[in-house]
Amino acid sequence: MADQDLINRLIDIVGPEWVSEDPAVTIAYSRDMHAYIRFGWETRRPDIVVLPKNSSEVQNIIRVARGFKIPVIPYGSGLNIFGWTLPRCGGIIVDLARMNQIIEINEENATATVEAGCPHFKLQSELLKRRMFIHQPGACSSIYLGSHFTHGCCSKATARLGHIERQIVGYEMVLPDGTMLRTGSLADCRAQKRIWPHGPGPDLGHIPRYAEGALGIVTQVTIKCHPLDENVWPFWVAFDDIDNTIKAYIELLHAEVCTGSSLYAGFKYIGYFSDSPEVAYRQNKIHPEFMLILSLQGTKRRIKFEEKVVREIANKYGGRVITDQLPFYQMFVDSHLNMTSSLYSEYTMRYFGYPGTVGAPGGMVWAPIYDVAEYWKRLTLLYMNDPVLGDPDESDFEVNRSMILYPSQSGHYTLIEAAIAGHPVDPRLIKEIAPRFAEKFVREITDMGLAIDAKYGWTRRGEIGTISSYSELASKIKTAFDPDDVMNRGVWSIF
Amino acid sequence: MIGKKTEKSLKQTYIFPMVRRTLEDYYEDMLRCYKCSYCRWVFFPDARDERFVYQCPSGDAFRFLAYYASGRMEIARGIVEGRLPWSKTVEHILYTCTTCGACEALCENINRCHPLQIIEKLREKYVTEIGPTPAYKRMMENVKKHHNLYGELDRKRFDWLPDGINPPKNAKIMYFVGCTSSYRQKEIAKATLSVLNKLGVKVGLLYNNEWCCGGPLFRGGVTAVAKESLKHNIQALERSGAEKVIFTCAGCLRAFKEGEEYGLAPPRFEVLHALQVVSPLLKDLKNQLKPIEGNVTYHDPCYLGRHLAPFPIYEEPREVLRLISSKLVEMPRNRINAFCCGGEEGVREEFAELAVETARKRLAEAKTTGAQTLATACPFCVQNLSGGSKEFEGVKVEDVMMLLDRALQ
Repeated sequence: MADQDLINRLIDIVGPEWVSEDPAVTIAYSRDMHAYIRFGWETRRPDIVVLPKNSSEVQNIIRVARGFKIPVIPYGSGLNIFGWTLPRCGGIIVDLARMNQIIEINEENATATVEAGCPHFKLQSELLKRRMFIHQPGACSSIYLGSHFTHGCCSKATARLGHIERQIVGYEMVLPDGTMLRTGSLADCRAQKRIWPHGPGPDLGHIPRYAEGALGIVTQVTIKCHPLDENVWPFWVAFDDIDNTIKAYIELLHAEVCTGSSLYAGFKYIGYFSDSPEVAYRQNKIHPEFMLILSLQGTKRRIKFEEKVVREIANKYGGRVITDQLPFYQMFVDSHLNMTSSLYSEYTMRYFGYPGTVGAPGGMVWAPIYDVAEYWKRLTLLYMNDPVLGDPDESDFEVNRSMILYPSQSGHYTLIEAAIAGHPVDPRLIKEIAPRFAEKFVREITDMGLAIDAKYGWTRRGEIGTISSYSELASKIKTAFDPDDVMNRGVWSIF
Repeated sequence: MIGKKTEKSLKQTYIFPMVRRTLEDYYEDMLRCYKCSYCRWVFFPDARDERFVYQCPSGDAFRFLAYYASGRMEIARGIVEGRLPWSKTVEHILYTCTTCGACEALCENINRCHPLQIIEKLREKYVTEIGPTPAYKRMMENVKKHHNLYGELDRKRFDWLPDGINPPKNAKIMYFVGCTSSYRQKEIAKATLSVLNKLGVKVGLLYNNEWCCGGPLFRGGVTAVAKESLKHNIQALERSGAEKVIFTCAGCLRAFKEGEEYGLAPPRFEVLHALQVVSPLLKDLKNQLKPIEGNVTYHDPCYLGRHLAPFPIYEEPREVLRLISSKLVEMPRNRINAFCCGGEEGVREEFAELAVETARKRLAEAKTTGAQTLATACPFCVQNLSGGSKEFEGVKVEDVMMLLDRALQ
């Protein structure tokens, strides 16, 4: 039961209609997709939910919470599968649903400033009117822009626009002591004591990134905008074996063509773009095992040149350019542009986002691209030997065993989206198969010399940093920012 | 945490939604919802204007997650698992839903959790365990006693009939008028009969044998009375020898289509909206129609659109409006993305402020199109939007049949 004095203080800040401690209201915030992995469907309910309207209300809420030493959990659209917003120790949920305004679209500087609760698609639809877009690989259209960049469970990148976090050029963030931190474009360059956008001192411009709300609540973001391309063309190259696919992929990367690229195996996405399950099944059967989904874009002349290079590489490694054989179908084109993480088609930008694509329970695997072939072979063996997944009567082996490979700029790693044991929201797979399969999967990953990463999954031991030193330093930063451990308490302990 | 007993007692096998009967049967759908929030907004590729991207009237008004479909799924789960007791807040959350079906339509493309079906089942459970809310109790008693929603005298149901016009009681094509057109929006009923006469479509009426269709009660979870009333109507229409039954009320049409879900035998007649009947007849009369002045925009009633999926009625009203207006302009949210008018009878009765506020939002959207007339095809929508239109001068709310009647003069 929440302290009445605390509730009154919160009511003073936001008004009575925007504070609730009623169990019927708080229960809605008690679960996300992480709950099934971590807590066996158990829920964690907040004590109070509060909906602020602006940054200064957020500031006041945090100050009050700090006085009462009660945890504060920022809440975006609610879509995440890692438990970032689960109130582990109860506390106050700060739901940003009311902070949803587009503050400014600056066409001259190509930036957009929005409140943290502004949904992705809302900004995107306004930008498209101006022939611009924001680069958001891996983002579901419904996510709030503030929380997406803060949580950042995906690190997809494209060759031209780069890594997702570099799209943010300014944060406004309320720190655990109620201080307002403004970085980058949002920093006040006219202040009496002038600073440059990220300093002096270390770059705090991305301090909220991956902090999962444990270092404060992001209230505004300024995002880089990009002009739409003159032309976009999807290009699919199919291969029969993984080794040749990887070789061709590496050569394409060396040639610095195709602004967007991804490798699909198993092709689990096909179901989303089929009219019926039967069509999905047939398409799964006729599609090749390995597919490089590439996007050529820019001027028409540039596309012509890239197409020539891609065809040469495809021929060299026995690939078949199957785009030539398929009828033009807008949904296919757009969906595949989506898959390549290059979101330049207008329709794709509007539609983009397929929640639940991160496989359970392995999720994202980071690996150097030359490790992928072995990874795939081991995954295949695991499936074949599993009593359910390997049984043709029980499971669609070809569909469930899938893998998607995206380029990532973090240490030149690739990001493997491992759809282990099928769609992660199938309760049967989650409850019965995934736990058994996960254990074996972890063993294989370890055998390959990959180790668990502190945040997102797996990486090669020693190449990014050992867990202990990473976590230790992160804890020190957390203590310095938030000595009372008010902000999203326990959120970093999920792995 | 789920009690083991509860979990074991829940059916683990997949059951096709059409034959689902209890809230517990939807348990896995509740678990499957991962709060993607697609249910809150318009279908993203159709987002045209940042001011008009919200879809859930109650969520848009109250903003707490509990008032969106994904929050209601969590409440349903809490109720099924016994973790959440019934309370006035639960009642408020459940009954501020206008059952517009936007969440259901969008979830159909994503995860198929059937949020609207779950909300309706939750209401049904609420009625069984706690009893109907005051508004629904009133409606239920009215339907039981007077066979209409409004507690009006049964014999006055057809008072709207113009003098000298007495359609037969038995005919191959019957017109089911509905409570709202009979007692509140009589102009729609008059216009419909007039249009049908002008186009040479002879229809019959049930007169006092017409009862409430039960639609609003189905939505409110008072299914026993609703089912009885619907059954009576189906039998009466079958006795009248109807091969086709025409509706002008989207709610009534929806009710007749859902009888099977509640175990009623499928009716032995075709169920059609009046616009589906008149639209093909108008094509040859194009030159004889007197166009209405100014631009027109069309509001898709929820029960004529999303609720009839996969066979929604989107185009027929537009075809008619194109013939009789100088210009048909679309609102940013149309067809599957149409924003609800807030006119669901339970919401209007119990949360009038929410109903009016929702209507205002829709009218504000209509105003941005520059249209002088907001046309729709449901008396509930006309009723609610008219209530909110007082402050939106220059936007007149009318049923398509009323406009057509004038155009045919």
